[in-house]
Amino acid sequence: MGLKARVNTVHSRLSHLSPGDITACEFLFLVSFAIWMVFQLLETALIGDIISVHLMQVVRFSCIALLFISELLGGRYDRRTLVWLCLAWLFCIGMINSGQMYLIDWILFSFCARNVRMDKILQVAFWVSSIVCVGIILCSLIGLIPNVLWMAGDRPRYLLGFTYMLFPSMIAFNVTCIVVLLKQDRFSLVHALCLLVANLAIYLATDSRLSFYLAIAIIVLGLMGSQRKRQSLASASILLSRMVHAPITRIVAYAAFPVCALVMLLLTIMYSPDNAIMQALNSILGQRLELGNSVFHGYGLTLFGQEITQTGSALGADGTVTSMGSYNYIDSLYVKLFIQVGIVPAIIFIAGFTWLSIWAYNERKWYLLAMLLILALRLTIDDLSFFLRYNILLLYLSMPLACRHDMPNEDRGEGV
Amino acid sequence: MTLRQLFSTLRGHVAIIICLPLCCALVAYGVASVIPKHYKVQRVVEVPISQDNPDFDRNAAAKLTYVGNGERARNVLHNLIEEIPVDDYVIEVQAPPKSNVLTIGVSGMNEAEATAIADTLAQYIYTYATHTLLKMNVEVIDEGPDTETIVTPKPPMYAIEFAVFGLLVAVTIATFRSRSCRTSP
Repeated sequence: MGLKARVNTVHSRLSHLSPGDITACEFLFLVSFAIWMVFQLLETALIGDIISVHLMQVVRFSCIALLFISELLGGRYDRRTLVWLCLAWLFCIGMINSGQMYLIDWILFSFCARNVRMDKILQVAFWVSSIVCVGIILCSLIGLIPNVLWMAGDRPRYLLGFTYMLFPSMIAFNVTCIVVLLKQDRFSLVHALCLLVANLAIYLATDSRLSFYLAIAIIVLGLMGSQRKRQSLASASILLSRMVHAPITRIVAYAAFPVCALVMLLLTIMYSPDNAIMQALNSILGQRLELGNSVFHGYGLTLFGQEITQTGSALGADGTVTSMGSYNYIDSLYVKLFIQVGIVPAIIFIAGFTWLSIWAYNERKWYLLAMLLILALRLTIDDLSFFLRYNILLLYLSMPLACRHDMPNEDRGEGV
Repeated sequence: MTLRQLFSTLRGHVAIIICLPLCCALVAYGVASVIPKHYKVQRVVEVPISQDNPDFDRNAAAKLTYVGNGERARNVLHNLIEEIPVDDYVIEVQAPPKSNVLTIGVSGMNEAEATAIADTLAQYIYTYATHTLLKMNVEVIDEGPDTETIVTPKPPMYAIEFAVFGLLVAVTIATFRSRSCRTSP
């Protein structure tokens, strides 16, 4: 047997290795994703120097190597995949130029996720996020790691073992999204109650309002969607059916991301402390317009990104302040993308999510569409959704490339 | 199409696979060389740590970051270098946690002006540390016009980034062309 034939045989055998119903390609992706998630989440905990920068690099590159092998085994390429890659690289250029190369990981995961069934990824993400988050919180409650009390004016906020008070609430919000996407029509009152209790407990400790309110919105939408077949919430289900079939839903699905981005960017650029309306809006948005405007005037806009030193208020892994200087953190992801990552990558990012929303609408994936619309709103005042550890929807960006028609109906979200 | 099929497709389009990345790299290099540059000048101020009371000295360094970022420092810069539009520059004074080293960063479109602002601010912080906080042996490191300035965009970096982009576009074009050849009668 020639070398070429042997390679063919090995490749074919490896591709069809299936422990249970998982192929080798899927298995490698899921292992890589699970390890990556664990370390990414632990990095945000107050665990001192246990996870060094060097160890993080080793883990990251090992996971990327596993992804590469997974891609070799199961990767399929067509024109759309290659166009996707070209645009993704343009986005990566913005990340490299802005000094955020570590964020390229999620683009790699998103690209390779097209070879894996999304329900399997969601299951892994659910278990990893839940176990690590609960573990960190328990460790902080029993005193193994510090549970820092942060006083923001008259708002006492516990960090629950994390380096910033928004991290646990973001994980809880992400888990809520995962559960609703995973269960879809099987999302029950018990699921809703468990999620509500978890989100409420974290909200009471951290006082993270945005994540809590949006999590409640998702739970309510999940319940309304799942109950429509059971007829137990008749009026709500009729209302929901009318909503999804109304022409306005189509317009919202097509325009949510561009409109939100444009509005936030214009408000930031046009902000003036002399304007009373702008000042009131700035106050409602927690000084975000003023901070964004100041960074915009300092650095301006570029096509492919620039490095901006941002000083926030998160703590280091040892519980100390990470850097001292004047606070200039941009919270709105849209504004951050345009100013820091560049105009071209920002447009690609917004176009990518718009494409995903249109696809979700056309494929009648209502749960996914609801999450995307909530995400479009969230990105106006929050940038944590730019991290894969807090936002599973980033993995969906390559989903339209690999729409699997063999998926069960509930997984495809059909039938509203 | 599997990866192997993709590579076999590319074998027939070697010219475009080589030429397009080269063209993209050259264009990116040219554009990045021509467009206006952004300069970042850095100065470092070191506050010595004494054996007797190291925490006190680190606190002094922390206080100096607030002094450097404060309104008074801005006014001093406006008064000392009237000819330079200080407000057009981003001025940041930062220090890592538990550190005795302050980094002054000044970014803007003119290197000479950014250098002048950084040096003046470094001198102001030095004076404040020695006269107000009564710290001895405070040192301004890398002062002067010969120190390295960070310039963006970097033409070589852009050339590499767009060479990769050109390669991806070339692969896409090769795939499109091979499909159209196969489907044509």
